[in-house]
Amino acid sequence: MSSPVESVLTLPYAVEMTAVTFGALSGALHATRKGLDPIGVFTIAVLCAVGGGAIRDVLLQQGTPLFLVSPAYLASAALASVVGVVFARAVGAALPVMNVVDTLLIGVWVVLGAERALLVDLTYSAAAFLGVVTATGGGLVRDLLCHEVPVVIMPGQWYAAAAIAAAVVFVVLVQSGVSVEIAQYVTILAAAGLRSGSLRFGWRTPTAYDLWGDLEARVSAGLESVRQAADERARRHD
Amino acid sequence: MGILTPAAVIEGIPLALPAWTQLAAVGVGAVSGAAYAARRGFDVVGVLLLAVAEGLGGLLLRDTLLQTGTSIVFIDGRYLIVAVGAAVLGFFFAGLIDRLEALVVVLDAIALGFFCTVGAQAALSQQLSPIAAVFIGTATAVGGLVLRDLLAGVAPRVLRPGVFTGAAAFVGALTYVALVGGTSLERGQAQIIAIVVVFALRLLAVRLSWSTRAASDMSERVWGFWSRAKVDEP
Repeated sequence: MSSPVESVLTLPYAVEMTAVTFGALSGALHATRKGLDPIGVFTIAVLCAVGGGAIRDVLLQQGTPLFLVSPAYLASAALASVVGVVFARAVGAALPVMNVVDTLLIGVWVVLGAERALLVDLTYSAAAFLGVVTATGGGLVRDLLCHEVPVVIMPGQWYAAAAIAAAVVFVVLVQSGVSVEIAQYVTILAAAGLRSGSLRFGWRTPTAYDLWGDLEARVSAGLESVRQAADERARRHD
Repeated sequence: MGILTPAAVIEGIPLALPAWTQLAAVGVGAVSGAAYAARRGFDVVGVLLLAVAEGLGGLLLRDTLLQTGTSIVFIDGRYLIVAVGAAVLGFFFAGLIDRLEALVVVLDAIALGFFCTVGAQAALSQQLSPIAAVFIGTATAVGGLVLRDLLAGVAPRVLRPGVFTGAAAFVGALTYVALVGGTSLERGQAQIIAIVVVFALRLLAVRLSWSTRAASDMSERVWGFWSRAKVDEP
């Protein structure tokens, strides 16, 4: 099978660097709020930026992780972290802008991860999985290092859920022969749409639904009403 | 004739376990990860993530440590499909799964033993030392549990005093490596024996609530032993 993705750089390089930069900025913001010291903020910010890609590359085992090979990743992450540490208040004030960019970046991360997987001829399901890992890995690492239950697994707004849906959209489009060029922009829009939809309309991710308990309750309620009806009939008969 | 000698028992056992057994073990792990997430009140993403973590975590850890190229988990699409299917089961039937506790314990015990042998085997086929194989076998067996607990934000249960899991996995890996290295048994036979050992240990541990204790400082006692011995000498 020849890969539908010919180059990692189907998304402009600048987009990837923007993603890394904003990942570092939002990591720095999070760490500042947690009251970490400057080294802590710097560490969290850099890991937030490159963490998702690092986990992806370690899992892929196709050589040294990209962020170590190409110095631009660590350089822009470090630069953004320093900005985040020094100008924490200014970055905090720019939060609305950051949120918009962040919304657009979910799909970018998904595409970056999934394309890397398709590039080495992995299955479509693995590509979708690694896309989601790339999009959510940074936040996961951040939360684990801050010793918190990761935000992605708590009920709340759609972030990882949007990433999962976008990853499915991407692989379905690519599999059905749409060019990767078009598929990636559709994916980015889909993720952004779902994310902003959830923010706008307050969609929450569902928690587990006890289907079995529900069915059991219904059946026993049904049996109960049948029994009552029978009792009623018997009494009337008397 | 008629008397089942150990050799005769072993003759009926296949040379290596079929491939679907590994998928089944992944499924068992993933279902219990998903049920755990559902019980903890995590959302749909949490159920998916913890199902994948507990089902595939051990194999991913093994393949990452061994560095033998992209993990089988990503090359063979069925693994992710099984894990996601298990997550769906856990999402809707967590209540039922909780009630079938005995069955879950039994299946988990089998999967634990299975992962020990699979991990150890992978290390052995990379010509690693027996010690490394025991380590990788144990890591493969408990890796999923550890990853699940880490992601769920709790201290890994395997590392804390309690009904033993890690110890059973260690004994299982040891048994497998010893059987493969020290006897002329085929892989499948050694695998089944190790799985039975882990299964028996784990079930006895649960039944009789054997548990590991917190590590305690033994230096006082060791020192006391020696000084007493010295006093007794003359």
